[in-house]
Amino acid sequence: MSFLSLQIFFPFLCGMLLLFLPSSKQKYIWNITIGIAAVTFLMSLMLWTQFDFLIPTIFQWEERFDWIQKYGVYYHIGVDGLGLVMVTLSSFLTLIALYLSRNSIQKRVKEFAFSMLMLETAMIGTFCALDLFLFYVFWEIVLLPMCILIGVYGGEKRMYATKKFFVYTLFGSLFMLVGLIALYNINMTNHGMVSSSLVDMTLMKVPASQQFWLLIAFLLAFLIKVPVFPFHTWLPLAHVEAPMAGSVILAGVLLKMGAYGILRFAIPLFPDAMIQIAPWMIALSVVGIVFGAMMAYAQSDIKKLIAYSSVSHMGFVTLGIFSLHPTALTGAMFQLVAHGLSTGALFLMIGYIYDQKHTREMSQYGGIASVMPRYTVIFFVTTLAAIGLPGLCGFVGEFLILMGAFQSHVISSPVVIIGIAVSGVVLGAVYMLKLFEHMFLGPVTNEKNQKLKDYKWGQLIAMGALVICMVYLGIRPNSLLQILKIQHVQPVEISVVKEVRRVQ
Amino acid sequence: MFSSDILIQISPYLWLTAGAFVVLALGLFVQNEKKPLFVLITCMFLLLSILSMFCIGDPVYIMNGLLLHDKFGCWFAVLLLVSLFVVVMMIPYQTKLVAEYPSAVLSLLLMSACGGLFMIFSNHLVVFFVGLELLSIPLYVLVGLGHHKGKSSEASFKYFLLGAVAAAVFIYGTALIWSSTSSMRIDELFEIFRSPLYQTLPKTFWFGLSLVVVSLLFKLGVFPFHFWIPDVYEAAPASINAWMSTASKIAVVGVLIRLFYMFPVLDSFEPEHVTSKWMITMGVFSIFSMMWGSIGGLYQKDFKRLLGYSTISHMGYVLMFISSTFGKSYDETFEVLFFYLCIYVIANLVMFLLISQSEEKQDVTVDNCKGLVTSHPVIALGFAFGLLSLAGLPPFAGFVAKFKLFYFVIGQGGIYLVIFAILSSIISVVYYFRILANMFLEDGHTTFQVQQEGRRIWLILFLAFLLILFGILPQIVQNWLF
Amino acid sequence: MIVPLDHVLLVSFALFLIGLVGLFLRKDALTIFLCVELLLNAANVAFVGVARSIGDVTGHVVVLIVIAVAAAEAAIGLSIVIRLHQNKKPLEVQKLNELKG
Repeated sequence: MSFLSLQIFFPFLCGMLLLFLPSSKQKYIWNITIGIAAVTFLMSLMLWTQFDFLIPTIFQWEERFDWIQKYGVYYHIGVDGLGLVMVTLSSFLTLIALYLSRNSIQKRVKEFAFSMLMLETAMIGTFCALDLFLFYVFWEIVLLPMCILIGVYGGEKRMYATKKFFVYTLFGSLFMLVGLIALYNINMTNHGMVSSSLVDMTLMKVPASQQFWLLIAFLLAFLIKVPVFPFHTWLPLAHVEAPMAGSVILAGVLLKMGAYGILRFAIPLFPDAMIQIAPWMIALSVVGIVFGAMMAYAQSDIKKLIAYSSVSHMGFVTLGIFSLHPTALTGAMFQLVAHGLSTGALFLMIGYIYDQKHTREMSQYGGIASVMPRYTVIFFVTTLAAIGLPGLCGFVGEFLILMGAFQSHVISSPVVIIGIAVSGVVLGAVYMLKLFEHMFLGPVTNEKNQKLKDYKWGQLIAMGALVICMVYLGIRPNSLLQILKIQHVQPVEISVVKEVRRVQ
Repeated sequence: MFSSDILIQISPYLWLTAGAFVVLALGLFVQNEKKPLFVLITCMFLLLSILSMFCIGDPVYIMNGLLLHDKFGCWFAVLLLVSLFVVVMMIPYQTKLVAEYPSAVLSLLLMSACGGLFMIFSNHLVVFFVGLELLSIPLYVLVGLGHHKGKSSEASFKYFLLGAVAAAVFIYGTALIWSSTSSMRIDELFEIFRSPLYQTLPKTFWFGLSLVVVSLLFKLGVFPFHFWIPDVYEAAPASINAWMSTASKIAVVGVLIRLFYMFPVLDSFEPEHVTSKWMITMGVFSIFSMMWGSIGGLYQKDFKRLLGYSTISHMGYVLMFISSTFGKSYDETFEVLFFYLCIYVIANLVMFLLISQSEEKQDVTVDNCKGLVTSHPVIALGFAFGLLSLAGLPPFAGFVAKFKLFYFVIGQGGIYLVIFAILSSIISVVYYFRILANMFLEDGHTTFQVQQEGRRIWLILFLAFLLILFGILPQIVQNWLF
Repeated sequence: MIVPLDHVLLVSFALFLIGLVGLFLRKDALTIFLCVELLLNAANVAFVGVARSIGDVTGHVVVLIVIAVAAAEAAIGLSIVIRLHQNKKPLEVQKLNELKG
């Protein structure tokens, strides 16, 4: 059992022990849970210390055991640059979400803590898994605690939201299972041996003719999770009905899992089919960007607005991924982190104010800036990061994506695509600034808002940590960019070039 | 007359039959209050029977070729007897059932198990018929002992009619088979398949064989012979349900494995269209079973009825596997099917025996179990493990079982079957999830009662724990068995 | 004159069909039960005929076994019918619809 396995299972094992504590001592339970989350975060920071930064694409901290030998399934985990960043993001967001949920969750605290910890284990496991079967198992395990979080601690329509979320995501995952099993069988017939480990599978090339349907099966699961238009309908519902911590994890980490899956598995395993499908996906991404932005503009429910903005931002990510250009891919990976931080912060702030006023309508809030100055500052910085102002983290990702997409070989008319995408950026600024103006600026419109409490020191430090990250990543993005390289970008690029040369 | 060799060879059946008589006789002389005594004696005979299984080594035909004792049948038989053991241990929870006729119920269950053993080990079609009847007739009676007297009698009568027709169809098919091949022994039938005589088999033979298989599929509960399952499952007492859904399926799958996986040579003979006709028909049946089980379950309110539809769906998966791996060898397919069956049996036992706790006070419906997690968290967890395993979600054992099944079927080219299987999984997840949501997510006051003698419930919870253990470490089953 | 095997099988098949048809068309519980017995006896007739033509005694033994099993089944079946009557359920099959089939 090496350190990485400990990192994965530590939250869950401690959560199991937590279940034996008596439910009455809520304060102790909260403290212990936050302690466990903090230890997990520190462990993920320790992963950075022994990470070799010069070869970020090689999997480090690797472990491999036989699991189900007959089908070539191994317990194979490891992190490369992307995995490491995602693990750190997950543990960081979980810690902050747990710390700030203290006031909103009053009953059944033990189960809440256990669900969050189990979710953390499943998330970190997904990002560390290098074996396709193990990845699938962790992917599915993520669903259960998320359903508990939404279903027990959520809003009024939480049952419907949970059911839709569960069934929709499971629908995609089961098709991925079929694709997975078909992939095993194809490898068995073509190469005589079956192995579920990613490293082995990238060596066993699948013939181009069979790649297409396998890719579709895999992509169905990932696209539903990201979400890409038109598979996004579960997202606004789930976000609105989830409790604050649930929304933060959902937007901050779970959406990234879909993109991670494409980067980690779809690109290396099915390079030829990716080239085939890229133009369609780019079209869908661009539609998603604009659609999300326009729907966000039309919302009056703040959480729904941010949910649709997530659809829009993840549209950028998929635009970057399917451009199949190294710059765009790097930008997409950076945007994963940036979006996680900024949207996570937004949901945390909305949750804070919802706990006090129990309404999410924009019209109920007006001119709060004079009542809650610290809150306003943090909200403003986060808004700017979400919009993509240079100097904050959101800009770097979007810029790299657009630049890479412009140079990409799979887009036939880059100017049109980039033009539409950029209009999405502009619309993003429009609705976020509109939100900010309606909520914060001007005189206080609602008398009850005079009584709102501002951030205290503890909460300020937690939110401040997020803001500092956003600023730091905006000013010195290279700290992340140097390790966000993906191992198989090069072959994709070469084959893209070959395709273009053949066409010409 | 009986040499000691023969006695040892037939000892499993002898122990069960002797146990049945002893318990019945004891019931006449001992007061009804001494229920634990009956259970104890039943379990003792069961254990003796299981132990005598271990005498079975190499495949040997006993009783002049009527029965075949081999390792594969041995595993099925042990699974059957262990599930009876669990059911018998939990029967005292159903107080109304055992209040009136405790010794009769236990005796009937033992005879039923003996019939199951006959089915699994049979080599001769008439032995198989006797086993089929011996398995089913006690069930006709036991189903009628539910606490809703009117409903139970009606279900018992319906089950009896349909079961009797199935048995009659079976024996008629046997007559036709005998008339065309002059042999009723299964091994002799396979010899005929391997020889050139295969070409000359008349139509009556195939008609007879299809009647035999139809009768088996009735017992299994797949489309189009599944109409009895929801009604009978709803009306029977839950412990009997537990036995019925595990034992008859185990016995029939054991027989189907024998019948269909000893045909590997069929493909090399010309009338390939015959085997492909069988495969296509069974494939169509399996698709309809899976979809019927999943869509039908959506409209159910009663818990046991819902589990009946889930059984139809699961047997659809089994049929899908059999229809696409028709003709492969025993070794590869046995392991997958046996693992699937094991997990199905454990999950069903957990579900029905947990339901049997509270069933007599009030019917357990989907709406009744709202908020179970607040009043009885451990029982709710047991239900959750069982339901999630039936649904096939990781990390539970049901997922690994389904994964193995789909792996083989896709490997044989049955990709369309698996697509339907996936669709039916998704649909059935909806109703499993509805129950889970009611139990865990809703706040309500459930009327679920737990019996006060709490020690035995740990057996069920142990089984539920096995469901997760086999999900994470399935190689335990693999290495231990083989 | 020795009856040819085909005729015996034809009679047996006719009995089987009559039993099957009667099963579906009759309303009374006891009559339906009689039809089930008819099905079993159709098989018996077939067995005897084949045993006679092949010369194998096994067929006759099988008939004895089937008769014994049918008797056991009859005992159980009739007790079920009696229980139905005890629980005040009607004996016409059409009226037995408490369970939604």
